[in-house]
Amino acid sequence: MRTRSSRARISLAVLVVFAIVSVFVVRLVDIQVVRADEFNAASLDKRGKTITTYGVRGDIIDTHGAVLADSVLRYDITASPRVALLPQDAAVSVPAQLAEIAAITKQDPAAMYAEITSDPTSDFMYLVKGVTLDVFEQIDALDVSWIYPERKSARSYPNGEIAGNLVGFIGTDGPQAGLELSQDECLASDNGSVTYEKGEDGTALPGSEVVTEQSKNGGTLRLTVDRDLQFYVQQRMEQTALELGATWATAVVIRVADGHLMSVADWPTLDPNNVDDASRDALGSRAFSTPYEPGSTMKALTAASLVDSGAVSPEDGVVVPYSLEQPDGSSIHDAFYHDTQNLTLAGALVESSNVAVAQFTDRLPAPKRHDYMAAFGLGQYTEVDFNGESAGQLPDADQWFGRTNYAVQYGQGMSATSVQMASVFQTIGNKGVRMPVTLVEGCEHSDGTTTGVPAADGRQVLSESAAGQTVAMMEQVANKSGSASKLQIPGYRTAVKSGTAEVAVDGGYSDNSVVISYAGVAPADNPQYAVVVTAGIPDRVFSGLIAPTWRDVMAQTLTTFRVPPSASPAPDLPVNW
Amino acid sequence: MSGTAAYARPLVAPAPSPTIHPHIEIVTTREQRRARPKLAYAVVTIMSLFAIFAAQLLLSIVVSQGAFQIEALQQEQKELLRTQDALSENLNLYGSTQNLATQAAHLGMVPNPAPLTLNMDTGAVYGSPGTADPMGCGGNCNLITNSLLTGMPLVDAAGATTGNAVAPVVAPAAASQTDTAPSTTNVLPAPVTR
Repeated sequence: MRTRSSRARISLAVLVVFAIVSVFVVRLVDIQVVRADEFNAASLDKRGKTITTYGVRGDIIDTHGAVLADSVLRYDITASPRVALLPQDAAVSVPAQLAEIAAITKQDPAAMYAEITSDPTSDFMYLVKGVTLDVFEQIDALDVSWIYPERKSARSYPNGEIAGNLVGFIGTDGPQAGLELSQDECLASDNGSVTYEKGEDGTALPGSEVVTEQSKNGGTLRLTVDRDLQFYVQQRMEQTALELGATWATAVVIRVADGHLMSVADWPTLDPNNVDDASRDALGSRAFSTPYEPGSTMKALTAASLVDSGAVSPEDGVVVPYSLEQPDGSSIHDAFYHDTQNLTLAGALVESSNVAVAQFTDRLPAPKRHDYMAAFGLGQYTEVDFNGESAGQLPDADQWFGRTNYAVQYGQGMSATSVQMASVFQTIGNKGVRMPVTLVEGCEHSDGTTTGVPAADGRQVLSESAAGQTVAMMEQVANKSGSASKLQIPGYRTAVKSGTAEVAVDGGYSDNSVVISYAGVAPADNPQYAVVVTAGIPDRVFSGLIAPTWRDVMAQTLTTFRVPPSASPAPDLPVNW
Repeated sequence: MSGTAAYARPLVAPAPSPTIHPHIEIVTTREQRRARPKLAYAVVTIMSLFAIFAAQLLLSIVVSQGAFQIEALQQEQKELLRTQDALSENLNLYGSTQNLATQAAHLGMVPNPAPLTLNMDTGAVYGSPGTADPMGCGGNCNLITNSLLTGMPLVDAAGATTGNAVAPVVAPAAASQTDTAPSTTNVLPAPVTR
C-alpha cells in the first residue's frame, strides 16, 4: 500500500536518478559535441597517422608526344645512427649490414660506417641519395631495422641534350631554367595527404583512410618542337661550330603558316641530366637570350619594306661603286672590292651590296623604315616570353644619324635574336602575315582540358605581293650568288639571304670577329618553313661557309615534314640593268 | 401460566475444531499447461541469439578480410604503378634519339647524305643518288650527348646485347611476379625484313 513515505522515497530515487542521468548527459554533450573536435584530434594523434601522397610533376613532350622531361621515382636511404648503434643481437652487426648495403649501392662500407659512428646520438643521416627502384627493392629486402627509405620525385630527361636548352632543368631548390621554370605553373604538382588509423602493430586499419587533401598531378607541357629534327639540327650546328671554330652557333626552324618553332638549337648546349658539366653560358637558350647584329640578312627585310611601301620595285636600279662617301665624311663600302656596277634591288641582295642598299634606303624616310622593323617584331620580346629572353635593340629612328641610318638597314647598329630573325623570315614566307612566335602548344591536364593555348592571330606586315616579290628576290640569291651551288636542294626552290656581321669589340667593329648567318624559306613557290642558322666568331670571315649548313637543315626539315617539291621553275629577275 | 420464560438455548460458539486446511491449488487446465513457456523456447531463443552473434562475427570477419584484401590489392596496385613508372622511364630512355642513333650505327647503319625525293603525281625523282660515308658523318653522327645512356648495352644484329650493360632501372626479375608469357597466337604477322 502506497503511503506518503513510500511516495517520497520513490520521488527521491527518481530525482537522484535524474540528477545522475543529467550529469551524464551534460558530460556526454560536452564530450561528443562541445569538445568533439579537440578529442578527435587528440585521438587521431594517438591512433592516426598522416602520410603524404605525392602529385607527380608533369612531363614535357615534343609535338608528337616524345618525352623530353619526365618525373621518376627515386629513393633516399636515410639511417638513424642512434638506433644502429644500440646493443643488438650478435648475429647482426652494423658493419656487416653496411657491407651488404654498400655492395648494392657500390659505396665504400668503411666510409659509411665512419659516418655513422661520427655522431652516435644523431637520428638522421643520408646513407645514399636518389637510388632507383630496383636498388631500393634490394636494400629493402635486406630488412635492416635502422634504415628509413624516403621516396622522392626526381626529374629525368631521357633525350639528354636534345632541346636541353629549351627544357631547362631542376635544381635542389626547384626549377632553375628554361621551360621548367617559365612553365612551372603548368608543370607543378601539389602533394596531398591521407590519414589512417594504425593498429597495435602499426599497420593501417582497413577502411580507416581519410583523404584530407587530394594530391594533384602537374599538366603535360606540349612543345611545338620536333625531337628528331631538333636532334639533327643540334648535331648539324655542333658539326658546323667545330668545323668553323666558332664560339657559338644557333639555328631556328619555324613553321611559316603558324609561327611554331619546330627546332631551336643552341651550341654549346647542356644535358639537363648533368647540369654540373655544362658551361655557364650554355644554361639558357642563346637563340632567345643573346641578340647579335644580324648583318646582311636584314637586307631581305629592307627590300621587303621598300617594295611594300612602293618606294622601290625589284627591278629598279642604282649605280653602285665599291665605296660611298657620306656627308659627314665617313664612308660605307661593300664587303669585297668591285668595280662600279649597275645593280637592281634584286641584284643588291644577290651581291649583298651595302652601297646599293644604302642608296635604295634613301627613297623611304627613316621613321617609316623603323615602323616596318617594329612591325616585324624587332626590338620587342617575342610571344614565347622565354626565360631570359632578350628583345634585342632597335634604336628609335631619330637616333639614326649618318651611317647608322643605312647600317640599320643592313643589320648593323641594331641587334636581334635568332628567333626574332626567324620570325622576320616567317613573315616574309607567310605572304606578309607575321604569326605569333610559338614554342608551347599548350598545357594538357589529366581531366582532358588544355590550357595555355597560344594566340594564333596574325598581323599583316607586308602586302602579299611585296612578300612574294621579296621571296622571288631571295630566290635570285639562292640561284645566282657566289654560294649558290651550296644552297641547292634537289626538287625544291629555296630563297635565302646571307649575313656576315661585324661584332662590336671595345667600341669599334672588328674585321676578324664576325657573326655569319643564312636565313631563308623553302619551297620558294609556297614557303612552308623558314630556317635561320648562325655561327658566332668563326675562324674565317665568310658567310658562305655556313651555306651548306643552311641547306642541310632546310633539306632535313623538308624531308621530316614531307613537304611536296616545287612544281614550277624559279622566276628569273634581272640582277643588273 | 407457566410463565416460565423459555430460555433460549444458549448459543454456543462452536468450539474451535482442529480444522485441517485443505491444500488448495489452482489446477491448470490443459490449455494453460500448453500455454506455459517451455524450456525449449528459451533454448531456441538463446541459441538464435548466439547464432546471430556468430553470424555477425563471421560477417565482420569476412568484411574485414575483404578490407584487408582491398588493402593488399591497393598496395599491389601501388607497386605495379611504381614498376610501370620505372619501366616507362626505361622505355623513354631506350627510345631516345641518341640511343636509336647509337644502336643503328652499331648495326652498321649510316645516314644517307643524298636523299631522293619521289613526286607521286608526276613520278619524277629529284636529287642525285650519292655514296654514303661508310663512317657515317665521318664517325661523328652522335654528337648530341645523353649522360643517361652511359653504359647502355649495344644490341647486335641477332638481338643479343653486348658491351658493358648498365643495370636498367628495374631488374627484369624484380618486375615479373605474376607475368605470364605474352600470347603468341594473336600477334600481328610481321614481314621478316633483312
